[in-house]
Amino acid sequence: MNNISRRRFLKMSALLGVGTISGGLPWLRPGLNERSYFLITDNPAGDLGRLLRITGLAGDKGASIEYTCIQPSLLDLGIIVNGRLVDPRHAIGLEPELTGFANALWARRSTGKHLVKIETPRFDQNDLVLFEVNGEIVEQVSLRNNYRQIAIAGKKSGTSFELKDGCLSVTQASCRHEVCKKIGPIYSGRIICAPNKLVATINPAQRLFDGITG
Amino acid sequence: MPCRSLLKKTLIGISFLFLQSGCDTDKEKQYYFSRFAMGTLIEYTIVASDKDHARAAMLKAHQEIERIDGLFSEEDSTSEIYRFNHSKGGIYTNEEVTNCVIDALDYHNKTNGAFDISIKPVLDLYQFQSDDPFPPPDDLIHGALTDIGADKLEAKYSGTHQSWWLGKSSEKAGLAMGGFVKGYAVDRAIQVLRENHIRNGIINAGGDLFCLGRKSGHSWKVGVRHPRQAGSIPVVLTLSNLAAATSGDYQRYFIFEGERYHHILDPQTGKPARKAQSATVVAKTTAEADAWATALFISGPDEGIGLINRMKNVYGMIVDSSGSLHYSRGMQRFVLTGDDTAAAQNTGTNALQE
Repeated sequence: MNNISRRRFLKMSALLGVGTISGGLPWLRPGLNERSYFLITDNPAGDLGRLLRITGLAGDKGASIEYTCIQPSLLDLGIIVNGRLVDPRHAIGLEPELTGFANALWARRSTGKHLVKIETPRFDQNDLVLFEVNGEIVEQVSLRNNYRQIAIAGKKSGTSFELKDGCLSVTQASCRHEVCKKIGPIYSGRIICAPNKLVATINPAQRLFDGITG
Repeated sequence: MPCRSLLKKTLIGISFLFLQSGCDTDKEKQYYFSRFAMGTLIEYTIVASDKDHARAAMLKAHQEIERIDGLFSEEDSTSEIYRFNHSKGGIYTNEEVTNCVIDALDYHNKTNGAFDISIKPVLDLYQFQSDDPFPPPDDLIHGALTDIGADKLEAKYSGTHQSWWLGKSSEKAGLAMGGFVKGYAVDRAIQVLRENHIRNGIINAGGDLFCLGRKSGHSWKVGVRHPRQAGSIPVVLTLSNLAAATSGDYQRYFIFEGERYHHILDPQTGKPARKAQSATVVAKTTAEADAWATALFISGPDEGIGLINRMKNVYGMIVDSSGSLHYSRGMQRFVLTGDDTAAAQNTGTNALQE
């Protein structure tokens, strides 16, 4: 596997490693600011340290790092941004230091046997779920935490939600149709209970789309 | 030279005007409101110079939606449609209701019968509103099918009574206009916004939406929901002064003995249409988008896309029963995100990744 295509290898690694996170490429997951890095290196200590400093993740306990031994492959850096594979050497709008780092790896014209995967923290303190009944805010919780039960009293009856790992779902709906239960679980957007005039919105300030149809 | 001087001054003047208009645009902001009506969440995104103006316009638009709900609600005993459905042979009503029915019957013809507002007798058999819905037996369905069809309805102006007449040849016949009326209500509400000097905004009634004008000079971005993955947006449309509507088998359904029974019935069989998971249509009005979304869903990719390709200013995409995505001619121009292969063709077919 000496002359494996760089792009093909990164894509394979990304699909294997990130499939469970993003639910399959190339879906957009609006509302999450997720990044994963895939580093192929012959000097894990040095290159990883540099990458963590560039990305500001050095010392961040929220970031997770995994090491895998692979067959020798060209040194490279791949980045998954919100479920999309980005080539840091050619992407527009990426931090210049990342582009410089990727170019430097490529310029070494060497192979490495270490694949390092870094996942960044998924939420910051501003990420939250907002619950409104009839246009009034009745509750808001942070996406950083997990909640087994969030009980919201609607216009007619109560509804219970669960928030786990940034995923919101309805666990109990007292209205007969339970349409809201069928909507979730969701990582972004909203769950609506029309009879109760209840709307639960993930990251209401971050509206990636102006409207949703369907 | 005098000409040069005049030209220079004219150019400066024009540039100044553009600068002014740019500044005025910059003062406008986006305001977001939501209200409930017609059994769903109505979302208003309004671009205005201040929140009071936006709110005032929104309230008037919402009043219009509530007024239309009052006319067409199937549950409200004071509504015209309720009166019609519970009448023996028909009712005298107003011009607005009659014209709406006439428009719906027109779409019935254009869609080869796929869009059918007379489906109510069959729809009622499924009792989607009940605590324990279950699929009705075939003999009941066949019986109810005899009460549906455009030939069972009459909508016209009666010169004798100088009033508008909605008639039916069977007492059991009735109108199920829910989705179409939502689209109509959005169109009317958009008109109200225009009358209140709002040039840019979106009104979204549970997924039936109209994008008015632009957002800071760009088309509005509308996500299309994945029919099987909640929260996933596989396709993004860019729209300006256009409507979009989606019909899907995931919007209202029950599971019985492992099979999904959804609310979009095929008028030919009286059973849930099975050729698609979802269908999205872009058109000039929301009512039209809604009618064609239903028709496209029921007709399926082969017949449905063919029908839409013959229409002017109507564009569609459909996810068939196996998850493959099909586009009508011209739909690609609105698609911002999608499978790369499909984006390269005029009418594309691609599999959605599960």
